[in-house]
Order: sequence, then C-alpha cells, then structure tokens
Amino acid sequence: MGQQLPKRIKTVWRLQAGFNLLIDIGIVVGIIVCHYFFSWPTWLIWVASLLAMMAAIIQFTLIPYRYQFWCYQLSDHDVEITTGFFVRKTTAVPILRIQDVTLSAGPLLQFNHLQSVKIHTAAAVHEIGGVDHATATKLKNQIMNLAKEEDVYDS
Amino acid sequence: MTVKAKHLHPLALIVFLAEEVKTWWLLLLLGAINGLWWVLLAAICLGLFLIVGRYATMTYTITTNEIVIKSGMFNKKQHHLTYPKIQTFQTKQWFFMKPLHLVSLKIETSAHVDNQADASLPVITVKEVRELERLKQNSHSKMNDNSESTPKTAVSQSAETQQAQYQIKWRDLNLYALTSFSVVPILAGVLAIYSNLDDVLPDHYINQIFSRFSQQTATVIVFDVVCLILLAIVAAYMLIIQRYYHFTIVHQGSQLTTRKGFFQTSRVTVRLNRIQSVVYVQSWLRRLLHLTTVQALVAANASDNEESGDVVIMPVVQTKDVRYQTRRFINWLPSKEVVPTSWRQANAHGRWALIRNRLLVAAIVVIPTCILWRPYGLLSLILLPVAWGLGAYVGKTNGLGVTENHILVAQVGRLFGKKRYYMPKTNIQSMRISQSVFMRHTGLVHLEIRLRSGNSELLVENRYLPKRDTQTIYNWYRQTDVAKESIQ
Repeated sequence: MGQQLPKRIKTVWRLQAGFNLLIDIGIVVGIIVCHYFFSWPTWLIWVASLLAMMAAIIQFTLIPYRYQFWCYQLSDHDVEITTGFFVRKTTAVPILRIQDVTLSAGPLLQFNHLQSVKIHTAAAVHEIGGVDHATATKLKNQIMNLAKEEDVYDS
Repeated sequence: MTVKAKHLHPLALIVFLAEEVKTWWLLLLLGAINGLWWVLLAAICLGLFLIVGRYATMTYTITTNEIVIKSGMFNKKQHHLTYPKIQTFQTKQWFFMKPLHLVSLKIETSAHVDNQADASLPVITVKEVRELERLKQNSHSKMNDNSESTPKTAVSQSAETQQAQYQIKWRDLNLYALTSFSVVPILAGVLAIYSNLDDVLPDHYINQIFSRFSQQTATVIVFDVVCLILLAIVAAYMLIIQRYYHFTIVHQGSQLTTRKGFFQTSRVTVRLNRIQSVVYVQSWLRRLLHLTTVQALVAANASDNEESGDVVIMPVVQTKDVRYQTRRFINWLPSKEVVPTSWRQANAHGRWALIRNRLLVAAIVVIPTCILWRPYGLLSLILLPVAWGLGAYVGKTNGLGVTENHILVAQVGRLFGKKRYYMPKTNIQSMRISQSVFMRHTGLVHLEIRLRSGNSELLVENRYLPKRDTQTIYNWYRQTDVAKESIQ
C-alpha cells in the first residue's frame, strides 16, 4: 500500500465537518425564524434539523475510514491515488501525461501547515488531499523532474 | 519588413449586418408586429453605426513572423499571433463569397484563455489564406531546420503530396440524412414556438388563427398536423444534406482537411498528431442497417460545435468497410481487431447488475403510473421488458481489449446503439478503477478512462467488469516503456 496522508488531515476534516454543521444549524435557525414570521409549517423544522443531524453524524463517523483508505503512491512513471470507503477509487496518472502541478492551501489547511497537491493532466485534475509542506514540495519537484519529457500539447 | 495594415474587404459590412440581423431578428420582428416604428428606426441607426465602426476599426497586418489583428471601437485590442503557435486555420465560405474568392477565417492557437475562437477575420481573400498557410508551413520547416537534421523530407511531406482522398457518394449522403434523428429537435422547436405563441403574438392574430381553425373539421386539423410533421422531416433532411453536401476529406502530409457544405462551404484542417482517439459511432437505426459514422476526437477546438472536439471523418460508411476506409487516413489504427480471447466483457454477475439497474429505473416510473392511473397506467408495464432488453444489450456490447500492444479498444453500448473507441496508450490521460461496497462480494468494478477532447475532457466509462480482467488492463496502462514513448 502507498503513502498515507499525515494524521493532521483528520483535524482538518473534523473542522470542515464542524463548519458544515454550523452552516446547517444556520439554515435550521433560518427556518425557525421563517416559522415565526411567515408561519412556515412546523414539520419543516423537524425535517431540516433531522437532515442536519444525520449529515453531521455521517461526516464525523466517516473521517477515520476516509483517512484509512486515502493514500497515494509515486513511482518512477506514475502517480497512483486511492480514495474512498463506500466507493473505492484507484486512479493512475502517468507522469508523462502530467501538464503541471499546483500546491494550494485554504485557511484550514494553512492552519495545520498542510498543502494540497493538484495534478493537472490535459483532461482533468487529480488531487492529493493534504500533505505537509516538505512533502508537497518534494512531490512537486519529483513530479516535475520526471515530467520534463517533451510536451505533447505544445507544438 | 514593413507591411501596411489592411482593412477587411468591404463585403465584411454585409457579413456584419447579417450577423446582427441573425442575433436580433426576433426583437425586430416583434417590434414590426407591434408597430414600434420609431424605436426600430433608432435601433437600426445604432446598429448601422456599430457595424460601420467595427469595420473601420478592424485592421490586420501580415508580416513574415506574425499576424496582427487590431479591433475594437471603445475597447481597443491588438492580437499578435506567431505562425508556429497557430494550430488550425478554419475557413467558411458563403455561396455569395465564392465568385469574389473570399472566405471568412478563424485562427486557433493552443492557448485556451477562454472558450472563444482565438482570432477571426470575417472576410479575407483566398489568396491571403494561402499566403498565411505558406508562412505557417515555412515557420515549421524553419523550426525543423534548427532541431532536426531532415528538413527536406519534412517540407516535401507537408507540401502538396496528397496521400488519400474520400468524397461522400450521393447515396451515402442520402442514407446519412435519412438515418439521423435531427427531425426530433426541429419538431420540438416547432412545438415550443407553438406553445409560446400567445405570449409572443398579439391577441388579434391568435384569435384570427383560432377562428379559422374552429371552422374546420377534425380531419382537416389532423391533416394539418401530419403536414407539419412531414415538413419538419423534410426540413431536417434538407438541413443535413446542405451541411454535408460534397463532404470531402483529404490526407495531406501531416494533416487532414475536411470540406463540406452547400450554402456555406466550411473547411477545417486538423493536424494528425492532435487526434486523440478515433470513435466508430452507431445509433440503433444505423446498427440495423450496418452503417457506421467515424469521428476523431481532437485536442483543439476544431469541431463544429465549440464544446467538444469531435470532427466527423466519415459521415456514413458500410460497417464492413470501416476499418479499411479509416486506416487510409489514420495510419495508427490497428490492422487487426482485438483477439476474442483477450476481449474482456461483463460476466453473468455484471450482466445482471446492468439489467437490474435499468429495471430499477423503469420500476420508479412504472409503479406510480400503475397505481395512479388505474386502467391505462398498466400500459407502462411494457417499459419493464424494454429495460431488461436494454440492460442485456449493454451487457453484451460493452467490452475492452488491447490490440497491437499500444491501443486500447473500448466499446460502450447506449440505447441499443454503440460507440467503439480506439485510444493509443499515449493519449489516455488517466485511468481509474472504482468499486462500491455492494460490488465487493461479486468482484465487479467500473473502469473510467479519461481523454482530452476539444478544450475539455472526455470520460469513457465501462461498467461492471470483472475485477481481474480490469486489473490486467490497468496494469497494462501503468507499465510505461519510456524508450518507446520518447521515440514517438
């Protein structure tokens, strides 16, 4: 099996799930307000809060599985990314097909000193969810070094 | 070398006018019906001013290194295009441009800033297009001079050596038009206009029409409807004949050129090394008649519609001749089909999964219909065998295989039709195996293959295949023989 993401990514995912929960709570509060002012039906509140609860529970319980099954592997000629518990996906991207690599980090990733590595081919983008700065730079350098071969899309 | 900036041919004024009318005709018509003459006059004046302004500010300069296009009245733009970076020249020629030897030109580079065509010159002479093509060829041979030691052969190859040509026969064109389904959108369009009539037209027109209809008997109305449908069919037929009239494809050096059209002759040149994949397409009707359409997926916006990159190579050809005919133009296509023993297909589990999914979808429609509309709703039960048939067909049709060690062949069935993709390994951008929890015990997986087409991606998905077979293909894809690739 390949390389796993750093443990800290779980914190990021928990925070993300937390934020999603906050947004859901906001929606429920909005519905309650509407209930008072525009007399929206009561069952709407119950349905919305039930959905919010379910979403939050599912997101939080899945985090360990998501962590367990997310891994990547860099070999001499390709990058392989495996994700998912319910739907397990294994993707192979040959290095020669890679056009460029982007390192990016939103506030949550930055706070945990992580970066996500996005691999662009001529067709699509594949992402390695979050690795620490040193690994990200190493990955980027490795991939770019291997991908120095001529570019098929540049005439 | 100093070259003077030139204006377009004055005919461009008419082309611009036609474009404006094409965009605004509905509003103009509405204005005319509702009698807003002053507003119309003001709009026409403004339109004419804009057209003349656009013509006056648009100039182009052809030098030995680049072409410069200046345009814009308020927002001035200057577009520099160097010849080596230009991907394709596309020309379109309306019938009225023919005697004057004029065409409209679209220039495509590989940069994709937005989805628009990179640069266009609405009306220029054929001579100038030839000149541009020559300059581009020269720039290439110059590049070859620097990088490779065999400039002579490159030039002579890319020059006028015509290697293969195909022109559609009248009979084939007829078949193509008759077996295409474009009647459906035209009918839909007619219906949409009809249902919106009362919003668009003023009331007294509608009343007039309805009073005329109400005086007639039901048979006359049915007759009218039948006439309308027949008219739509004839219109669709003529439209396709018009579009593919004298379809010709020429293989010349390193590029393919297609030419087609009656009122508007359009000409597209595609470099062979831009072709990502070749697809044989059959709708169910064409499958019954043993006819196939051949398309090429191209990594540039060379196609008719801007979104996808498929260029029709052969509108219609007998299925048994497909391989021979296509190989004349695209030489990397395999000479042999995949050997049956290495053709990988769904097993019994997979076939059942495909049938089951379609039955489920059908059931969602059928069950409520049967319950809600008691006697006649039962007719919807007929959907169940159809769904079963679709699933069984797809299970039988879907398949994967590798031939000549570097070409992946994938066949995907849909609605009793099928598409067969020929993908060289070097053009497959990535490959993904996915398996849901429920598929684990049966050992089935989906395989997703990503290709580039136009400016975006194309996903070829083969569902419910045995894991072991798919893994073989996946491993074949992962083992790269670097030496071989660097030669190509």
